[in-house]
Amino acid sequence: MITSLITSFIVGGLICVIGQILMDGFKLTPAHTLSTLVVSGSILDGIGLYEPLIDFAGAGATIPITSFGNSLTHGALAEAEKHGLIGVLTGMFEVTSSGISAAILFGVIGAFIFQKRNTTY
Amino acid sequence: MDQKQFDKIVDKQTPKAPLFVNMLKAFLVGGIICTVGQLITFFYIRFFPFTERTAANPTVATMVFIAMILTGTGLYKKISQFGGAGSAVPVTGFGNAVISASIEHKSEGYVLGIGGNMFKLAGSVIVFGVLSAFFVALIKTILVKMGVVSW
Amino acid sequence: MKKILYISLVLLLLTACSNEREEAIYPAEEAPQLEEILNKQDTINGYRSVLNDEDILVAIDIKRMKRFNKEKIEKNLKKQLEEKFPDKEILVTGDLKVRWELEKVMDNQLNTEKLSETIEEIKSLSKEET
Repeated sequence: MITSLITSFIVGGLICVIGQILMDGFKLTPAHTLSTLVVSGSILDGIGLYEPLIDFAGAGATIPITSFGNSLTHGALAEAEKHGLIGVLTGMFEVTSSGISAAILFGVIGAFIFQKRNTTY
Repeated sequence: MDQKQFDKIVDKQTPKAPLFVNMLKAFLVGGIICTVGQLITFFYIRFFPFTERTAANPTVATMVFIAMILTGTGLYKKISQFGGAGSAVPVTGFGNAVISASIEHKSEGYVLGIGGNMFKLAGSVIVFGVLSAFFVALIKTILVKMGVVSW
Repeated sequence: MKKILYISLVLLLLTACSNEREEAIYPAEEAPQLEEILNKQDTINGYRSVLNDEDILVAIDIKRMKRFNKEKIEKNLKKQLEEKFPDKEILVTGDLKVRWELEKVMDNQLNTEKLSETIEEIKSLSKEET
């Protein structure tokens, strides 16, 4: 279990370092950085590399935003495998929904509970 | 003083962001967030009927919940000032972007304010995620149909 | 200082929990062939296996650096077992949940009826994708 924690620390940290390099080195805005990472996660899943990374690093690979692109692609591919080309469209949110639905739900709840202050990053 | 001169002066005045230090900070903060995520994953695997694969979904939801608390209390801003990308790249950063936008625009009403502005910052992630997922899946499906690769 | 103390305490607790009975088959001595095959694997740290008349469940603890090939390792071992036990349904998985569930089965020493019930449960659990 400890090795799991250590690997998730290292892999998760490294993905964030890549994000920092994109932000500082290539002067991208946070939105550009995150979009780039999501796209790369999606491509990595397309060539079948992201799932092994999840097997290896657990939360170190599922918590960074790259996993969002991965699960979108994964849902689309799983449906495409069953239903052909139409599945590419219909399967996309099959897997991912938890992140988005949680963000919407807690966004509204948070707006109810908390008062406006400097919260943006 | 024209714009170019002004830019030069600004360039001199603002301290060069020390890339290496920032990378180290991002590594630490991002790593710690992911380790917390791994602990939550273990919790879900142990006490609920989730496998390693399926536990990722409730873990992400829980992390967004934690992000809500930290965002509302203003702590996440402090974390992100220190951690940079280390706090933006994990899903908590996504949650922070959504939640802070909806808190900020609360005063404009629930439909136009919260509903309309919630994804102001995080929307691009969803848009490009869906776009790239569509094209990647499309290309792979076509390649499989042509017999170039297998699933 | 306090923080470091807490962290090291937690780490100690975690390590203390994790190192017991790494290789176990329940019911014991049921299938010496199974043990033989499992002991031959060099990609795993340990295994837990539970079997009854119809099923064999094997939960393996894959070595950290081999986990990139988790699926291949599972498939490979499953194939080997299927050759030896053609009349049984076999599930091989590197999943932690299944390992913990099998641990529970071993600790509780379930009787035959309960055992097959639990085996069905675990099988449906590990079938869930995503």
